[in-house]
Amino acid sequence: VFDQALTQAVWWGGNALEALLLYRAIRGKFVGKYPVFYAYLAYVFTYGVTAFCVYTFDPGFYAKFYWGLQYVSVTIGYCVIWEIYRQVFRPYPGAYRVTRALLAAILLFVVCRVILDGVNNLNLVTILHRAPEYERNLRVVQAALLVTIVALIAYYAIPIGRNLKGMILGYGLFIGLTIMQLALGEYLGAWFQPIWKHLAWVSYTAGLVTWCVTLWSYHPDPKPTRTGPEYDYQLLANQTARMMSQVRSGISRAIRS
Amino acid sequence: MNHLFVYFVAGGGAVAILLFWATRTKRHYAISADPQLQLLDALEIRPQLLARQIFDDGDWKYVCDAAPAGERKNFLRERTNIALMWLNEMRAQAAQVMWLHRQASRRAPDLSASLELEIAGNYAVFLACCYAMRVAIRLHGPFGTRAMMDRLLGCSSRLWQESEQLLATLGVPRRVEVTVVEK
Repeated sequence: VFDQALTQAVWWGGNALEALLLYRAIRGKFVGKYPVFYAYLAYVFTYGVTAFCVYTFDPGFYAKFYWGLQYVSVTIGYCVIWEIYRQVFRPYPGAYRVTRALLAAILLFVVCRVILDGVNNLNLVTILHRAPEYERNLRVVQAALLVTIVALIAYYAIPIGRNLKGMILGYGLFIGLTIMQLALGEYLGAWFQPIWKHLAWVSYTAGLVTWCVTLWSYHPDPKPTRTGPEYDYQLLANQTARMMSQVRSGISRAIRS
Repeated sequence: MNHLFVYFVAGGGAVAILLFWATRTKRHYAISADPQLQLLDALEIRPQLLARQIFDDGDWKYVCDAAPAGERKNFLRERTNIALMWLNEMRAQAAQVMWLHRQASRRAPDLSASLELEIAGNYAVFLACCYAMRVAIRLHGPFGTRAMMDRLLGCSSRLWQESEQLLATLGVPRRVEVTVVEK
């Protein structure tokens, strides 16, 4: 009875937070500022209510339903990362290009890995049977993309607003904790499943709480400031590249000696 | 088992990085002339020339011959600190050029991604080398790393000359003053 009550409390609590977030965004008229993110939230909210109905009326089908739709959730998650990238780097064309190159390299690497691992072995049965493993791998790629974005935000000292920062942190917490839970679930096996049922919500709730705090109202991103004179990029880039290359090789030689 | 541990650590690492990034103190950068460097300018002493004196073992030999053990220990400790300060100075000089470069490159529509990655890679290696030198100076003292420092001095002279040339071309005062402001 306690287990059932806890499941329901967590379930409805999560749905209530999602509904609250959507309500605040619609009321504050900032849904349109982050359309993909709020589409993702709306999807998760609808999915949560539907999943509850499936769990209540046909518990045997629930596992297939859950893992089947996780792929859709992960796919929309990639769109959320794309929105974060677009919103953060759009006012900075240079940083935008570097980030695009790095993210494309990560995705290309993943596609090559998938091809090398043998696409021929993939079919609907294995996809559903090995769903946690596939989800974990997809989440790892998401984590790599998100950490790369954060590294470049820090590297280029790009100022970002509270909303975007919260979006990145919330989604990052969710992904990171999910990877840990999926790895733990695979290692501990069947006896972990009852715990996993509750633990799965911890990661998402961490993300939801972060979003509730940071997306309660609209905070626009700081506009790019033009402090100081404009520097010629080509001049700076060529000189910096030459200087760094010389210094690096000089210091490396010094350390080897 | 091993690969699951790697995934577990990767997930934890991602969470740690994001939390660190979200909670770290905000750094505000402002360009201003460093008073200490202005003083060195006034005395016509260049930091790279100071370095030769810092790592030269002539003073050390004299102290070894003339001073008691306690004084030798103090001398070595102070010279090590000065060597470490000099190393920080060199790193700060490179950091200033990199900061200006990033300011220019983030808004540059004609940016070359491969060149940017090359610069960032070289800078990362430079920082790692600085860290390694720091460890070497702490372990062996400024006079125990002479062979390394002889090569390093030439390299640092080039860094100073080129960075100052570049900053002069851009009309930027020497040295970026970094103020850390609590969020």
